[in-house]
Amino acid sequence: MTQQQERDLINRAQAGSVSAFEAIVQHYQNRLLRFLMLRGWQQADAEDAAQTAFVRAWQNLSGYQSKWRFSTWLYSIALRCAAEHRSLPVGNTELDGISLELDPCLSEQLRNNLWSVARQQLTAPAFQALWLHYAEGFSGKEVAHIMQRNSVWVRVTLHRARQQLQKIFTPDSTGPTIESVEQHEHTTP
Amino acid sequence: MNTPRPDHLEQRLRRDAERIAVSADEHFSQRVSNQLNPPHVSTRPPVNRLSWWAWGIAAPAALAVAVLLLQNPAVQPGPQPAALAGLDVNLDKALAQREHDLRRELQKVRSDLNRVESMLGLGGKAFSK
Repeated sequence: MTQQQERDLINRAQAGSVSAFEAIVQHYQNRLLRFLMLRGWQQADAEDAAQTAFVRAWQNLSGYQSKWRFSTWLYSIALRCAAEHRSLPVGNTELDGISLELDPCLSEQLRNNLWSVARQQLTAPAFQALWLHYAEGFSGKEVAHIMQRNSVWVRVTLHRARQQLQKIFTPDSTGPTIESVEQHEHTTP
Repeated sequence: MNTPRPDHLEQRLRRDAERIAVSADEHFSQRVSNQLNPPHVSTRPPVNRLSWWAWGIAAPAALAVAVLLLQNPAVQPGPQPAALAGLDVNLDKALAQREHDLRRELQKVRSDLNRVESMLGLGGKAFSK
């Protein structure tokens, strides 16, 4: 979907077109589900939170301003819904999901994947910022808006996260494994 | 020693995220096609489509099947040996309990739908079917 197409859909949805909003939902729902499930949510919980986010987006669509990309606005809603869903503040570091078990469908996909190392090595907010930036393509400012942080925090967090991953990353390998991470942990004082 | 460059890391993060996205999308699509009856998908309003998981489409369907089974003479118990009479009673009880549970579940789904309808200001139209 191009930006112009999205803009048209948003305009139509703001004018009350349910079918236009349906297209928006279809475009974003898988991305939102992935994002929520990588926080350690089971699929059913992630679906509940995503649905709440879409309902809230629909209710507040008239208040959306194109100052931010629509995806930025939607993700900020989703993150608040997710926090409310678990009665946790946004960006909570202890119970934000990273320590929880991954849904089985994602566990398989994360095998030999750098993101599985990131999940293990980084704090929940750092992982989240990294994912939003590199996987979802949000700029630093957008990540800051979504996570309700300031831009400096995002820059510093991304920098530290990269440094942390750089220590164990080898570009030519098939991918870091759980074993290589554990080995790294044992050899690092 | 060959030190990895930062842009390699960034490329790898993007590439691995793409891998996750592709396989997760496949998983989600598979799950949707397993749960939805495709002809109904295109005719539902979006609030219905985005809420298929929450409103438990399976619950009313399961209730309908249970009621049909209960009403179907083919599955009604015929004359049975005396030793099986107690089993019939237990089976009837279990089926009655199951029907009761499913009706309660259906009631809950309806009340959820009403709540969402009122949240969206749809006045009972979107989920009336």
